[in-house]
Amino acid sequence: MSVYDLQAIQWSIKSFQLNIEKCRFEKDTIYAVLGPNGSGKTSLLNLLALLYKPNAGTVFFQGSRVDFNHDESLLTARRRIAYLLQSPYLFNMSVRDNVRYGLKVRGYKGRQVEFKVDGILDRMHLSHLVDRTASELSGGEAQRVALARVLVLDADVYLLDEPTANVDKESVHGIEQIILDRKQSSRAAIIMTTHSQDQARRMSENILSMVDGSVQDFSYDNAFTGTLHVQGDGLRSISVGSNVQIAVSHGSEGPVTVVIDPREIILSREKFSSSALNAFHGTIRKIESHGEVIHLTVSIGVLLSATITQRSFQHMGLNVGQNVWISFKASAVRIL
Amino acid sequence: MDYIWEGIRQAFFIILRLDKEFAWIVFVSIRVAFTSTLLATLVGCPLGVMLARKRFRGRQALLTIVNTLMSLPTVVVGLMLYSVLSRRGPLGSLGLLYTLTAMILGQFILVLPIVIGLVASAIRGLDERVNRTALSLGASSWQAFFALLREARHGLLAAVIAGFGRVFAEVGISMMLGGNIRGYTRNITTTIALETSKGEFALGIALGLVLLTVAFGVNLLLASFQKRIRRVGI
Repeated sequence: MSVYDLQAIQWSIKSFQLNIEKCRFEKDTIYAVLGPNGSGKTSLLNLLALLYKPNAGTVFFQGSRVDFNHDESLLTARRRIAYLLQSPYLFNMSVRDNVRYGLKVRGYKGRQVEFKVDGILDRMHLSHLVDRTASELSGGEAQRVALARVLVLDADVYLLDEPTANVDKESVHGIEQIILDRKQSSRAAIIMTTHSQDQARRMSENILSMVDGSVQDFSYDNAFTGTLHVQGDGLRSISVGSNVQIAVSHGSEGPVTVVIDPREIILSREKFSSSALNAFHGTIRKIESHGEVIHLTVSIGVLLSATITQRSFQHMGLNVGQNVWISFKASAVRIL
Repeated sequence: MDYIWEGIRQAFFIILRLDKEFAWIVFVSIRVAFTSTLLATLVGCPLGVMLARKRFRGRQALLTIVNTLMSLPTVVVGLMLYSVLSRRGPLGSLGLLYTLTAMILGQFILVLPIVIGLVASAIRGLDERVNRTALSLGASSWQAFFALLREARHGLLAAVIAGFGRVFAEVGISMMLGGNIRGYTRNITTTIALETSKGEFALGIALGLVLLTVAFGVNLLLASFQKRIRRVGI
């Protein structure tokens, strides 16, 4: 039984429209939803949180059709879901009272509440903040408290809208680990949105992408479709584009789709001899900075993305229009 | 000038002796003002929240009306209710005129717009994410409503205190609807008016001191809440 089964959903506000033909979410799975601002990630989560009533279509939650007009059953369903809002708001109360809130509204009382609250605050290293009020917290602390307020609940679904936004870089890994641990311990469905492809990859094998209000399977960087040939000496290669041959380490003959992780690509000013079977001469078309890493788009007959650190970028002194060599191992080419 | 000093001297005696009539008069004022404010709070809070949050046609006009009614003259309320409650009026048969109930009703009408207006402005000043946050954590719509009230608690208390201060010090409604009946509906303000017209100042001054003390206390409370509101930035 799927946790969610969405069928022919339409929901709109002003000029924005959410359109989901068919979409299922299973338990014991982490889903990462990628997409630019305004693509509908938050609307999707509001819909999954059963806070928005769709204009058309059906939502099945844990096998039953959700009746948005029946307050009581809707509330029961909503209470199986824990939802972290984007840029969350902390009530003007102590950290402890904030974390208690979801338990209190569910009718938990006394010792049971304190036991759970102390447990999650301890696990998230927030115990020292327990008596502070919301206004006394830094942005990163507030985000972690808000996450604790959600994770303290024993839910079947956790909806996390950009859980590591506003958090300093050092805490990102910790929070990701806490989310992964929660999946292990609860077998819940965890659906999180993120801007970062890297984070999506780290967290999940089920990456969805939102584009203009509709859900699509994620399209990877450096995804190519071509035909795989096995030569006499066992060397396998795929021809993509008009004149590019990419060596791969395995696979059988026929049409395939492959992806190459941009982080596996090595850039150099000169050609150098190495064990990498793939080496191409190309021209830098685009340079984008994403904090510590730089994304480069290089044309080798087809466009290829490569990710390098800020440091090596500066060291190499690269510019748009420059010619570079790129190389990667045959084993870095993943066949989908 | 001597009669003024004499009045003040006697006033202190009255207060220190806790004269029975004096105590009753203060009690009537507190009881009527407290009841009317409590009722107005119970009715006005939900209406204020609704006015602040619901989008409907005529909302802006309603807000303007409420804000105008916040400075409703007491004698106008007295006049309106008198005409309704008097023997010839539509509710004359209830026999409410010159009772504490009539005074409470009048003060309720006076303070209701104040509570609604101030509650609405306190709720409108809240972060728009409060309601959604409560719902996202599993609150029912009632629980979310109480979360709103709790977030606006300082503003709500300020509204209630301001309302209490207004009715505690009013004289028009108490006089016209209570009738200033000794030992029954006579309260602080109507006594002061009567004693002054009789040329007797002692009791009036004593009661005036009580009024001033209460007004001072109310303002002190208000100021402390406003300070808190500013600090938490609601």
